[in-house]
Amino acid sequence: MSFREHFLPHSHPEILGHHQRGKLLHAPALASYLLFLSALLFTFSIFRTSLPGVLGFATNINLADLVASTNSERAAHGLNALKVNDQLSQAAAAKAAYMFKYNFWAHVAPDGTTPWYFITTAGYDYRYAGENLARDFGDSAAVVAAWMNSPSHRENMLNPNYTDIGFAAVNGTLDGYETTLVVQMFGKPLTPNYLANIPVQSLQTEAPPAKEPAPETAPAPAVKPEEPPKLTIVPLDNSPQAGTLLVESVPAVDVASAARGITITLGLFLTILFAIDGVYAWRHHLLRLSGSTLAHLVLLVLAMVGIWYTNVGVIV
Amino acid sequence: MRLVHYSVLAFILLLGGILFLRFQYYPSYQFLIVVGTVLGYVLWGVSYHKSESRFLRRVILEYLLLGFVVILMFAAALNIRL
Repeated sequence: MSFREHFLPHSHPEILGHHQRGKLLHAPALASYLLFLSALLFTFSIFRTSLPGVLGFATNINLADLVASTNSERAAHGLNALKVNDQLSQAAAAKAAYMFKYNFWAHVAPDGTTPWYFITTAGYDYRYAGENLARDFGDSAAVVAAWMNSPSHRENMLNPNYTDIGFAAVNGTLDGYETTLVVQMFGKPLTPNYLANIPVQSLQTEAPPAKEPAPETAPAPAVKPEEPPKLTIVPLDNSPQAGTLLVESVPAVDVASAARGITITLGLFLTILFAIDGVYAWRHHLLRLSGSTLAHLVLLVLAMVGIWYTNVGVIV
Repeated sequence: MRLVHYSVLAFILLLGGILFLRFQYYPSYQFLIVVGTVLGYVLWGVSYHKSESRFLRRVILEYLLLGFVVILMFAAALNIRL
């Protein structure tokens, strides 16, 4: 077997007059790429749980940047700037701590605890309130961009009813993996003029329970959320203040970059092999019994473009 | 006939691409969209090669293996926990 048979089509040993692809595109070779990718996924999974400092997600979240980016988006839409409110930031920090403690990732906890509970327990009596969540983003700008790209989160970001904002970005372990959670809470304090009517702007993706105040479009009587027992909000030592808190995580190997680099390299390798194979067969008018090279090429190119634009960050 | 087949393939991949972009920031949904698109791709391969009278087990195996490679590439890039 010559070296060029690994890359170029060559005669089929069993079917006279037919050619087959280069050996690097034969079924055993494709199966070995599958094994390689499986091993990669397994390695990422094992190292991320056992050695997060070696293999994890690089994070650089600056709360001042989050506030500035949020207000910049609001200014671009002719809206008032939001003021950082310590109570909302405490509520956000408490919500993040609660998610880590009870291992969930949602607006409403499995035990029914809602975002409004954290806000009121922090001492912030709201007329309007909202919450945005994000996890596993690399930097502040990406978090705000993700929220702006989601209609429900964008509605929160650009809601003219809000006057205050609070943030928390906290590193911890969720589902066994090192994770950075970002909690953004919005509010407008209750004033005496509005005591008879306390609607809540709830823009979470899942519908709030029936006991929750109704959305602004359907004002409800002044009902405060029912509070679950025994949750004390303890202000964090590093209580989030605009401009002072940087949440950073710098593992030896950033999983997101490594995975993207390796998979795109493999995709490029296969694309080049199929392109060489296709051009060679076309120029030499070879008869072959194989899949459509054009279709494979289109699939691989689309996959590489898709992977290039993937983002491991999640919002809810 | 080939034009029809390749138009169907273009539709499958285009739909997958649009849905993939639509669900940006929801990696789990994106991964399901990739799996669905690859499934459509393999079925397209079966249909195309049947119509061309070149329906062989090793040809379909090629589509399946390449499809799985693409799925695992996305699983790694999207940080999907299998």
